[in-house]
Amino acid sequence: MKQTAALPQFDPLSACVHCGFCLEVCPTYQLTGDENNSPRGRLRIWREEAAGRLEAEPMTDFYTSECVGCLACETACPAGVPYGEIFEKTRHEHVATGRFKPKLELKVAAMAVGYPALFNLALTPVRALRSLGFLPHPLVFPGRPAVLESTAAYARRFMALRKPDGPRVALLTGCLMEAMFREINFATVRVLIENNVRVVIPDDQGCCGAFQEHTGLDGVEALRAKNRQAFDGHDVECVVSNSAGCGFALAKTLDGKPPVRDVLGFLGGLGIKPRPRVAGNARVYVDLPCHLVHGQKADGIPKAVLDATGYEWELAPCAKDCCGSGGIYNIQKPENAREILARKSAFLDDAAGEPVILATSNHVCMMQWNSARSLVRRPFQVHHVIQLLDPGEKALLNS
Amino acid sequence: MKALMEERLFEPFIDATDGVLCLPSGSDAAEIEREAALHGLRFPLVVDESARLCDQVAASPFAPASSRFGPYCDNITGMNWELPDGRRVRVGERVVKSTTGYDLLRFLLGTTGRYGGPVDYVLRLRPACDVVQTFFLRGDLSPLRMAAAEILQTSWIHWFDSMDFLAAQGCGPLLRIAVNCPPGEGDAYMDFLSKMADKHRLSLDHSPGLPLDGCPDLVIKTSPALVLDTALRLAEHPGTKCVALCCCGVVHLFLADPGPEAILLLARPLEKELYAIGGDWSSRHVRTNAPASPEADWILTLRKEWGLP
Amino acid sequence: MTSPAQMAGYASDGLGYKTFPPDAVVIPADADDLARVIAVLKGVPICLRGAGTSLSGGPVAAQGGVVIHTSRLRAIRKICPEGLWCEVECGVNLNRLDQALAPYGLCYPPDPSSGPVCTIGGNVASNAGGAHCFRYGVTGNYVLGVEVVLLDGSVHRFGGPAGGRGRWQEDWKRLMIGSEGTLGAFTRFWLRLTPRAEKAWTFRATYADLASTERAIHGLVRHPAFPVAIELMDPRAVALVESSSMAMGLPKDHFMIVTEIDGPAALVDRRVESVAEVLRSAGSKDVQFGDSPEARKNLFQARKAMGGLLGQISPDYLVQDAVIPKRALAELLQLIYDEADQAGFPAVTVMHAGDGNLHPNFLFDSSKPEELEKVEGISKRLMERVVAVGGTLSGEHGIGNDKSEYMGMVFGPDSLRLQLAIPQIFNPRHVFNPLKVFPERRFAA
Repeated sequence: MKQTAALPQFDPLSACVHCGFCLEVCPTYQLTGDENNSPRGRLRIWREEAAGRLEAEPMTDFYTSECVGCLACETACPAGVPYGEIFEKTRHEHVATGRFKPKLELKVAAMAVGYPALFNLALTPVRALRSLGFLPHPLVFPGRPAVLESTAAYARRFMALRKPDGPRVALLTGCLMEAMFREINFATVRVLIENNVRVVIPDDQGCCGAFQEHTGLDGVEALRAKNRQAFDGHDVECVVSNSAGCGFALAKTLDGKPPVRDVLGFLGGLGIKPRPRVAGNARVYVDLPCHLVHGQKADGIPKAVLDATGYEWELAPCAKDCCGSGGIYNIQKPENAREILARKSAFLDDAAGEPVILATSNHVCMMQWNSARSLVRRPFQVHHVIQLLDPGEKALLNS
Repeated sequence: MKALMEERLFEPFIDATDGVLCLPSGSDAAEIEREAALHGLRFPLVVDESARLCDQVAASPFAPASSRFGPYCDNITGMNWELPDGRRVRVGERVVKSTTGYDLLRFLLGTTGRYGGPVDYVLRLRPACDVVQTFFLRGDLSPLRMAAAEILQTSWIHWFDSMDFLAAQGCGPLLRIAVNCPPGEGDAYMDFLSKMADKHRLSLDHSPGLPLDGCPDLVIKTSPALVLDTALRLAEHPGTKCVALCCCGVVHLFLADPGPEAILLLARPLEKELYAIGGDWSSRHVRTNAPASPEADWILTLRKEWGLP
Repeated sequence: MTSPAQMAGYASDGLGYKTFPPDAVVIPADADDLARVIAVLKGVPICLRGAGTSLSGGPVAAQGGVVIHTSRLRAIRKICPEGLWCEVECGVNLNRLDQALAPYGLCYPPDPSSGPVCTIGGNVASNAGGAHCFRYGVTGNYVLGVEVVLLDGSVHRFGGPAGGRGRWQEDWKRLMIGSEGTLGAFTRFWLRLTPRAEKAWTFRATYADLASTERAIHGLVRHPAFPVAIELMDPRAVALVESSSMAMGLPKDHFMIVTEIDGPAALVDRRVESVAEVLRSAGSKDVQFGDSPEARKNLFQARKAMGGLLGQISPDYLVQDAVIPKRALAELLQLIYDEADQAGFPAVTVMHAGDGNLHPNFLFDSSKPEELEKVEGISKRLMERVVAVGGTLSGEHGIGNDKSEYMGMVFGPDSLRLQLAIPQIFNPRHVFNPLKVFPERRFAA
């Protein structure tokens, strides 16, 4: 009992079969209940338009603009539809042809990140304000960044003092991360060096391009070309990133040469040095960035790494669901982003532990979570997981 | 679409692979058993040794073993049905799983004679095992109730043919659990029930065979959460024996005097609370209430479309 | 919503190559809203839609009109652990219901493969099944009550937490279950729950030929361990998995059976060896089994991967849902293979073998009209054979508008009259879901 007709070859680009598995994981479908506002719906509309069966119309533009780009649908898709790729291409076309107009402040910012030195300089006042404890915007979370010393300089200084001799990695310092939230980069350097990792920070690196990808603006290719050059020839095992979104964008850019890894995943493979157990009632709720689990397709943050923080921890409810940040979605579509966050953050009101710490591994998610302070009744802290692993400057120097 | 030129009525058959048996609806327990046992199978929903199966089905939608296998309508997969004017039609299938068309099979099974009756049944059979035993847990009411509630929340309940609570005036309440299992497993059931008995300070004994209560005179359908209370309340009436099918939320009543008045006296006061939760009562001795609007119109349309007077 | 782009998203269900764009889509905020919408809509067909994962063309506007999408009626209103029931709105998703029930140690057993996304409303409408229905039963076995909005906007409850008739003379919910949206709009359900099994073992075995595969299936269906699921994949299906990224080293030309037993640990642990022995003695040299969640997931993985893999390799696939007497399996498989070979496209067959529920998937390209015609010809001949051997058209997907043409194979003149009477009671002008289930159900304004 045999069949003769051969099985077709696998074609990863073959279209969506309309099974609907993406609906339940899509934040905008959950929000609106409108199937057009889901991956299956969007793909159908784009395909109909491409095939000439549907004229270009404002509703198509609207549904395209509504997508957060969390890529949870890619994880849910049994047929492996490369939704992210198709979506980015479509969004770029819509912006290029004027069907969608990103907000002015985003256009300005997109331009600015192309010039890292200028961007850093322009945001010096913000770093200064943060370091003094002033927060100029609900999205800006508290922290004490160095105002003047760069991460590159800081890393060189500590490399010289501690002389680690383990694996050698390059660190992506990022644009917003470096310009505004530099303390996270510093903590990353300390944790890596403490774990005997040699840290290289290529000087001429630039923005990963995620900003342009999110807005659909031109200029991604130039940024990618710059980074391909910047990360070439450093003789490193991999590039590590402390931002899931930037790491995902850089991974697409470098295409394995060298590989890009999330810093927490990388540390998980090392046998990381643990922090002492934290006494008291504090509880960490870990939220997983979409671009870590759905973009980079990581299982999550390694358990060993989270255990090493010394805190009692658990995954936040629906940890793999989007928080609404979507890179710049919370600026482009603030109402949607806020509603998504409201649902996701509701658990904090009754969450066990005191203090309650929300930890994640992407600065834009941290910004979004920080803005939940007006939604959640109780106080809570927002940290990057790497900050919970941080030995601190003094301890690192004295050990 | 063109209909078949003639009805595809079921012919008598047994298919041991699928575990289905087609035979006249008037067959009794012995006749069913004879066919099924040849293939190591059984029809577990028998409540009476001598009554015709169609009468058992008409007496109650449930049997004690419905706890494990579901009501009759989930164990009769097809029927040859005779309409009041003598036309015979096939309803249902000889395969268990079907979503082909409207589920007239289950609808008709609940209609006791108003639209005709069954001629043949296709029965779903189950593997028959060698150990056939009934366990009894006896003791005070409160621990018995606790034991019943606890067992109902464990996956053991899937493996008991039935778990019934018996209440009647003049004898103590008891929990009756029937088991049909392979020889190698009997002691596992015994262990579990002994632990339950110890934990709730109940006594445990057992006897061979499965319980056969006969056809009930009155059937109350409520929820498992309320079934014991309902049985206890009804058992306060003299000459009333109640068997509460714990998992199904059904009380079977057996009356010393099953006259229509006696039955209405028991059933009427319960109607309001039963209807509020989608429950009901039925009795083979009493015609149910005439339908009100809009149901009367629905039934009128149905009869008209089916060509019935 | 009425713009053409908005209609595009609602033009099909899981049977993606057949499109029927509606004229308008309404997403009611709650059940009252839904009843109001139905009461005011006059002179247009109405089609209710849940998650749109149906595979038979059920929730699509076959004759245009309005699609009412129940995506916002998704509240789990009550869970009553002592009464073993819950009350849910029609748009509740199956996996979310399962997550809500887990803390109580209870479950709602029907498990269609679309569980991560499908809604309970769609499940009741099509009387959905799933792999574990062999022992646990299908949706209809778990519906205690249905709240329905009828054509005039009136709301009725058939049954309820107690699962009886309620105040009605007849048990109308029996007709509602599996009615595929042709009688009214479901808004709420009362569902029967059952304790979660304490423990489960999963088995996987491969077989070189059909005869030994059948021996294994026949042994399993009669086994006193009452397997919850008996899943069969034909060599084509195994080869598909093995040539994908999910390859797990199965022999590509073998049949594969996955089966599962569950219950209290004290029972299932002592049944393991005898189930394995049934699989071995039927002729398998490779019987694997495990009880850890991970092992069980791995053993089931090949079966779970099927739907997606089919999507990856073929522009379209047509899946049938016939139920057959198990003794006719060899005959039907041969027919499927012969037909597929003759037409020149592959067929990949999986089966809920315990129930005899056969899912042949014909891989074709709907953009080529001759392929569509061929595949529909095959379907028809297959169904004729299925009915001739005593089987039925659909086990769990429903008839929709995909299989309605075949209903004449099943029903004689009197049975058909009995069937067609049911929509006459509640939906005589076929406002609700016209052209579904029976092709003569045509809406006339």
